[in-house]
Amino acid sequence: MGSRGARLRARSGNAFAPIGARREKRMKKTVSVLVQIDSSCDSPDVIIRTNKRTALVENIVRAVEQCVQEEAPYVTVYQGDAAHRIRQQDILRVHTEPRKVIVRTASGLYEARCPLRELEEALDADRFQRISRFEIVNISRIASFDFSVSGTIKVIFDDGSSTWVARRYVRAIQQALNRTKGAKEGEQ
Amino acid sequence: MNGLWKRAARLAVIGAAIGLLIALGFLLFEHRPETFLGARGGLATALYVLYCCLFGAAAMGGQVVYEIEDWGLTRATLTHFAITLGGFCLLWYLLGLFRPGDLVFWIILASYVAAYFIIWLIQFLSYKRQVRQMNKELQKWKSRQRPD
Repeated sequence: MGSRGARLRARSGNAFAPIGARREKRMKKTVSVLVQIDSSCDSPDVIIRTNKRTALVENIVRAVEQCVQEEAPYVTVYQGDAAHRIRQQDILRVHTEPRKVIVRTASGLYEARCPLRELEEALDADRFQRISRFEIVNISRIASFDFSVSGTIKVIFDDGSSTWVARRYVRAIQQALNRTKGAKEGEQ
Repeated sequence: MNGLWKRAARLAVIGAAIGLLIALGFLLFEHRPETFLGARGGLATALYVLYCCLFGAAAMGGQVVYEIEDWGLTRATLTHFAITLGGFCLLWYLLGLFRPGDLVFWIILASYVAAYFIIWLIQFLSYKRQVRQMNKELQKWKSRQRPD
């Protein structure tokens, strides 16, 4: 080994590095995925461990949410005798009329052939919220709430239609709007 | 509606008991009515107590109007106000106190109206604040969701 070789090793600080060898850059591991099978789980829990919320973490969260939404079952509704399968996210609201359960979407009215309570159990609990004894709404399709001098709380949907909220369900709606926020704060 | 009627009945019983206590309280301070519904003496007193019980029942039982889901706050408040004011005016009349020419009568009436207005206003402002907060929370909720 010549003196030049000794100088290289001294600079690199590694007495065993071959002369002229390129130092390999270590690949930084981005994400580890671990699947734990637990028979006591009713539904999958996704827990993301990280030291801070980065854009990558947000993308992972969105990807998981997208998968969940795509898994959300369709709802079978009827127009006359014709059956239709509609996506839950297309539903604006579901309400009862005498002897009927009406499912309202932006494209039209349908009838559900089951009681409101049964339909409520089938709908995504994170998106749908009961606003009175007779009505359930899709939170993601609400444009705004309004409170008039007559003392009624109006729900205005993004297609311009509206309905009203029973005052005793105001707290439940507030909890529904805060629900996801609470879960996410718990993760931080 | 069955649930509302049952609740109204329960509240009416409580209201009748409160009416009875108030009537007995007035009698304790020797404010016996001289005449009531054309009766005098002990019968007038008994009728007066009975009326107070009925009035209490109507006032408390009438609170269920606030629980009717398709009634707005203003309609519920006006209805309850009408029930109780009607009952009060009838009581004044039966006790011989209904004197529209008397300033005291109008002061009491105005105080009654003001009390209901304040109750309505407090509830109105409370719900208004809650709705404003709900709109803010709704926007935050939507920003957390993936667009459909």
